[in-house]
Amino acid sequence: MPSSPDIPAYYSYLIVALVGGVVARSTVNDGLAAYPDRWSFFAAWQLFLAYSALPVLLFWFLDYSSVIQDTSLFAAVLVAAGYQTIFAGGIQGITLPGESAGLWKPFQAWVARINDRIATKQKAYLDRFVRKLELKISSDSELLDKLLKVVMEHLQGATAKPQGAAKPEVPAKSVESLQTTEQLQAAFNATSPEAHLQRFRLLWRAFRTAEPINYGYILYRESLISPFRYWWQFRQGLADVITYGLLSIGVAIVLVFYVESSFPAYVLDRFVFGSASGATWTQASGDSVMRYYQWRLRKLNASDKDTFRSHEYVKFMAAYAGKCDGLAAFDHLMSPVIEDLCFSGEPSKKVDDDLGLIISTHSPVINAKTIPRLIQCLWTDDADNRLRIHQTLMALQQADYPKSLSQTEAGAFKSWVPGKDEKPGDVAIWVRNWSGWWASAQASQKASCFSAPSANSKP
Amino acid sequence: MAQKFSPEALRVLNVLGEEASDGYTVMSKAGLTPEELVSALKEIPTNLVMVKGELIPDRVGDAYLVLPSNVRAYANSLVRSSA
Repeated sequence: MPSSPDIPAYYSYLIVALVGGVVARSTVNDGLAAYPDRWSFFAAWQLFLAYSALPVLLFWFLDYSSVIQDTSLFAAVLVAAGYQTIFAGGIQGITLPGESAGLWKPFQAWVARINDRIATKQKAYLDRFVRKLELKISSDSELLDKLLKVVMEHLQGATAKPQGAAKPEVPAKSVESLQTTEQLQAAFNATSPEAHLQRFRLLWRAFRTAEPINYGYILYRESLISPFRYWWQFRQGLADVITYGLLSIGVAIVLVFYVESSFPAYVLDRFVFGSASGATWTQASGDSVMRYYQWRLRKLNASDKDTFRSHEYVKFMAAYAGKCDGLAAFDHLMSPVIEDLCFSGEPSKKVDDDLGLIISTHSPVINAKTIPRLIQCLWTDDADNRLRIHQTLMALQQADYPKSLSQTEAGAFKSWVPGKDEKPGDVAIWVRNWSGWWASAQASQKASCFSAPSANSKP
Repeated sequence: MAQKFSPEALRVLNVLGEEASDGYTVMSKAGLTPEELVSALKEIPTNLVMVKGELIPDRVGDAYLVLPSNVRAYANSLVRSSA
């Protein structure tokens, strides 16, 4: 999506997560619309989490397979809102590679299983409620008499008025099938007074038939169940507890992440408030911030603007490499990036970008970390990249150690043009030559991390 | 081709189209006796209505009945076409 604004990837993923969360909530509400208290089931939350994670994973996968770029604002919104259509192949220009769209089917089958599990759980909840009530009432003859009185009242009400009062569309057929109060009383009396359980079941069936919808409220009003039980069972108390419990856990995780990680504070300071002063460099050198930029720097299909932002960060960190902890942070940041140069399959554009970055942040202090790694990367199997690394070493030598090589030595270094048919023995000679030069150059410089930040490495 | 259902079965589908319910609620809203509800549920294919519980007149009130969301549109069309 070349016409889309290019934004930092953490914003893109945040947009995908937030919009995806809203879409997930609506999808779960639609999919489980049959269950009024759907949020009281962990299975519903499982579905919600799966639907929330899906667009984030899909967004990463589409970026990884170069279908979109993860710094594209429009792509982020499109994937977050329309990931189900993407799986169905309904969005032109965003096509899932290979057979990956087939993953949607097992996911849907899992959703159907969750639906079934919720129905089973719901039935179990209802049964458990009745069993508890059964135990409570059948073990107390006073409560049993009270239930009989309540049932008689409501049976009279149900038989006396057309049931359509609450449900006008319903014909009175169900009323015909109800027992009359006399029949119920007769059946109750016919049951042995010791058979409490049977008596309860008889009353319960008649009561549920007479009051199929409002039975919970009537039980509560008549003090046959506690206010807590009423809230828990009939006022979606369980759903409230689970919802607020999970929300609290979520907020706690975000807070812990915020306190433990310097990343959110760094993003706020550097990009929201626009301040990138020296005071924020310790935040910027936080582990999570560095891991983020390492990911961006090592990414093969990063956009030009994203690469620019990552390079700005490296330059920002280079400005503080004069301090010992700053140098350690810089080394921590750049070591995997430089190690990638040793890989034979590293694309030449990427190698050019990385070596250009190393040259633009050079200083004797930083060289102490980068040059030894570059010398080792001369072993790469890719002769073109070996040449690029060699030329970078030449540039660094001329910039920071101009007097470290005699004219003859410099000429000899310049004359080396790595070739595809070069033997390992030849490479070993040049690695040894560069290592020897570096040992003497470093000895004469005595650069240490206690010196002031270099002027040319400021962002 | 759309399946043909009895008026009782269509009333059950109509009630369950609103929300999942227990048998007592369905009987009350659809105006059915336990026997009629059992017979209607036996007529409706299991992939259309999920039944959790026993399909006998004495126990059908305690059964939990669900119309899954993926068949709701189809069930609604059956109910509408019969109206």
